[in-house]
Amino acid sequence: MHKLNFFPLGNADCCRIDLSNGNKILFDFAATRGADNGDRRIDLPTVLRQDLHYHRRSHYEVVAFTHLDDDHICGSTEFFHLQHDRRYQGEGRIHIGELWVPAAVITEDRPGGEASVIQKEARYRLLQGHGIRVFSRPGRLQAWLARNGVSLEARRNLITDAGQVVPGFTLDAHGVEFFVHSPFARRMNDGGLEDRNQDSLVMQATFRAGTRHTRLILGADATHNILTDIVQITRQHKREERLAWDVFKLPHHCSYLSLAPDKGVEKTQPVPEVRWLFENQGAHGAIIVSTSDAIPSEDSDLPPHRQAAAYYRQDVIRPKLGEFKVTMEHPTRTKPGPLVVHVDALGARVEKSGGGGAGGVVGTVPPRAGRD
Amino acid sequence: MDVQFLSAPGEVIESGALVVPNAVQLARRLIEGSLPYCEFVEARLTEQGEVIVVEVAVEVPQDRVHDIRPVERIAVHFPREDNALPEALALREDFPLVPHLNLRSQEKPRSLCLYDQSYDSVRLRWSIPAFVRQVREWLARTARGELLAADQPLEPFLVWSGLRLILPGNLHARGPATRAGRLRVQALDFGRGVETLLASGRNLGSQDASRNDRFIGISLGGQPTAGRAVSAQPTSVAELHSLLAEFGVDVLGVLRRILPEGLEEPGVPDARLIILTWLPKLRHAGGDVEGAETWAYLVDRPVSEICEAVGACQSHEGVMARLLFTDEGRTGAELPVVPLNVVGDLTRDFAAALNGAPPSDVRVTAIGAGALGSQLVMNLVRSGWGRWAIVDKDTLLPHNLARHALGGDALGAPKASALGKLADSILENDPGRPRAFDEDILRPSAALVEQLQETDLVLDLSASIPVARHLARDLDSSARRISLFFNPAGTDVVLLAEDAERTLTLDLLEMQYYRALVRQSELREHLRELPGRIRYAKSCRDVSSEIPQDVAATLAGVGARAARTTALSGDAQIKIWRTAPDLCITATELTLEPVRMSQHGDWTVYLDDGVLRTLSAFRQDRLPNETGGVLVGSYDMQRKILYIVDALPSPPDSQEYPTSYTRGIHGLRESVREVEAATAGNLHYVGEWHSHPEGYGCDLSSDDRKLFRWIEEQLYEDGVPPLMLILGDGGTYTVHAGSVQST
Repeated sequence: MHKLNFFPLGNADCCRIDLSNGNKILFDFAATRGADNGDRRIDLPTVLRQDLHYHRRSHYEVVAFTHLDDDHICGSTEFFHLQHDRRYQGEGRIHIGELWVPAAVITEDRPGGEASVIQKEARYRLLQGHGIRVFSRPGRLQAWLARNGVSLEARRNLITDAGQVVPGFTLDAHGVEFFVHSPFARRMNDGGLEDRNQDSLVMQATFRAGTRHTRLILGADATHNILTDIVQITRQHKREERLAWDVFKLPHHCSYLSLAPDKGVEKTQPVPEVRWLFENQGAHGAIIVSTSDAIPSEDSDLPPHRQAAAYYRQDVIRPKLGEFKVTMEHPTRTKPGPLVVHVDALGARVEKSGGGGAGGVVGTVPPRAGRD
Repeated sequence: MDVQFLSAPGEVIESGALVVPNAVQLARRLIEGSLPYCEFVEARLTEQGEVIVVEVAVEVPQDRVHDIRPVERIAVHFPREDNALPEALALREDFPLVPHLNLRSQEKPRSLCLYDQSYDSVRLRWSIPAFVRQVREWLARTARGELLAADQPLEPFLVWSGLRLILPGNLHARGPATRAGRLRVQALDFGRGVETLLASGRNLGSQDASRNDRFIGISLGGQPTAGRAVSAQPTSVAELHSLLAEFGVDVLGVLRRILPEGLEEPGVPDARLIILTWLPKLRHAGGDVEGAETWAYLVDRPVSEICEAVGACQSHEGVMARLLFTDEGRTGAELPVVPLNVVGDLTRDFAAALNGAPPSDVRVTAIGAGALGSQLVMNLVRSGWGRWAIVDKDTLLPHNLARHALGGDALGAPKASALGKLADSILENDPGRPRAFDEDILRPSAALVEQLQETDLVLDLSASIPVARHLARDLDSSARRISLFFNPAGTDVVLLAEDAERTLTLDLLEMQYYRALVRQSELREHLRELPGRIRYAKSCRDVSSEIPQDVAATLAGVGARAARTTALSGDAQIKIWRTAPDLCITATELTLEPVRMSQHGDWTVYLDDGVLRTLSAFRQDRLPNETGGVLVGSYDMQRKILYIVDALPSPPDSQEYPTSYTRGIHGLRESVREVEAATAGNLHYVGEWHSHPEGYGCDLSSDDRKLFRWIEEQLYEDGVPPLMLILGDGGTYTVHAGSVQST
């Protein structure tokens, strides 16, 4: 049985995939919780460390940064062991087996802040020639590699283009495979202004348990334009099954912009390709996960947008008898906790176990006892 | 697409107006939000109690075996008196028909069967959060198809007649003998009125409590169907008729045809009617029959009245007359039916399942029905293991009752017959009925001889060495023998099991068991008498009169398990279980040695590799000198068998030279006494051994001949044969027994 774990981080992303073979893969990392005691967001570094401690490990097989926005990387330079600089090393830091980044992470000009540190790490690993996978059309990296005295040929095995299955994971050996949808060549604009969201990493993960395949789409921050392109390209190649989904991690925290240019009054009406993606391609009992703040009852400028949520709930989830889950609302708005999706021979299901009680106590490290 | 809900029972009230404590608590917890995955909907008041309607989030997979939704609306009905489980009703209009529902008089709303125990058992651990968790767990597991229908779950929300009906145990598989017909129903009345009806093939011992004329049974069989057949409980014969019509059962037709036929029989007109319905179930449509749904109903009216109410007869001036043409208008609408609690009788398979063990038809002849035998046999009978014959010549006496499976009603009866009868009473109508032989196994009748030839296993529980030897050596049967007996103190039980090929027979195993008592220090006390305990006979298996029944029962349990597991493998085995005073048990399993046989005139000598290894080690230790010592073992004078079981080392004052050996005496008497004590005299001095130096064989020297004659003279007084063993190079040896000529 595989497990997908989402965390209440506000409008920020982190998805940990626990494969049944023990491998752990992390998509994005955002330690958003403030010092304020009233902050309901989870202390991500602590829960991730507890999980690793429980499983007696100190590394992830893969850490993917879908793009360098703060809500996908913040705090990562304090959590991970980075190879390029001793200042980011030391006891307690978590090691990264393979770093997955879109090409923009390598080529972007001076992103600033933590993004610069992640960029240095990615560049260092790429020049070293191991521990990294870059997603793009290979030619996109040719100039940068040449400037740094490395030939594209020498690094081609570390680069995966859209429309391919990521090497290193197979359904037979690992029970999972990853198919890359974005970044894709059509949007590449070498030398021009780089739009991060448009260069973000969008993938479909296919899990196998028993004879059943369960599909997860990791939407990063894709806009309706990106999704439209992805749908068109995928249909051109007649690979509709690569856009089938049982679990959809919504792009951009339930923003209407992932559905359409117009928000709508009560409900966002998606552009045709996006409507097809959600309504046709979702399976019976499918689960949508919005990694966001609680859905507001009033109109709002920032995501999540209630009109987008209304579309997902009414037009996508209800006919499928599925579930629409918001990370900051699960299990309750007042006490959100990790959202765990189990994947087994009956497909995906949202864990709804009691949490506390005697069953929980024995699985938890109690506070220290003793005299001051 | 919108979900439709059924209305919950009762009228809506404010949650503040609730008074039933559990309802108050559930509402409070829901409103304060301390129950995860639950939302309060409303509170209601009914005549019987109060209702909380709640929406629960359910952990459902995408691929659902049953259509359970991620959110389900449930009405929880709390009875006003805290005397029954709260009932959980699924309010969604299209909530599916799933296993583990309670049957109610209306089909909907469906009632979740959450517990398979009575409220009295459940309430020890019952709490509001646990109850809600149970509801959510029930829904989640039903969605996954993990809740399988039990045979007949308790249906706590039905109005029961208070009557129990015991049906033949194999009814689920085979169905009644006829699709529609009379069923013999005995009413059991033990002075509290009839509580139990018996319709199985069982013969009751307590005939005085049973009567055949108070109920008449009719069985009805239906067409096989997939899924649960009975989805609502009928309240009248008319409703039962229409409910079963779709399964091809014509209830009224059968009643109209069969009931009037019995009106002439004495008692029948006043008897009450039991209707048994048997509806075979398919695994899925078009699949195999995998069981049956069995329901029974009581129509608590005289048969004569029923005949009238279904339009088959008419009463005319107090005389019941059969109508030529059925009055189709009379459908039994005024005849109430009440469900009976149906239980299946105990079959071999059912007994085995209840014991968590596979059933077995192995043919076993048990010798001995004493304290160990009777309890051990009953343990196995109750677990559906074995087709039994029981042999014992004794009569049940008062002192036996202190430690016996039989009760005082069998006092003075032959033990074998009485135990056979008890064993026969356990399983209903089993083809492998026990046989009993009230006779001495040492002088068997022709019938017993035949029985022993046809048995798979002879289980010696006789606590008698002569019997065990007889079984081992004289009995004409290829069946494997297994012996189980207590030690004299009654603290230990011993298993001697022959291998299936019978290479190591009981007597040979017995000898290796004795050697272990000598050699293994933890077994030294095994055959010793405990101080203060009186034995009334002189045999190592005569059990003292002071054995607590709790120990006897414990060891009979150990023995039953041992017999069952040993019978599974074909290997020989010796195992000793010892109890501490607190009944903690330690087991010792012995390593078995291959046995060699040689013939010396009339005498057969047995010797195993364990003895030879010991002798070789002694010889090796003293080379280049000769060495020697005494042999211990046992005689079977009756069968002229000599068992060499162990060798004692050379006494310290022996004279050992490269060419000669003279055995000394220091400490020897004590050593031999120790052997005798540890084995209750079963092992003793049987002869002498000595080694020859390297390069010499085992041929007799002139000194050896002199020695042998000396042994012969010494033992002549005891009337036992002389024995001398010579050990040479490379493990060679010669045995000289009986006389020098017959080596």
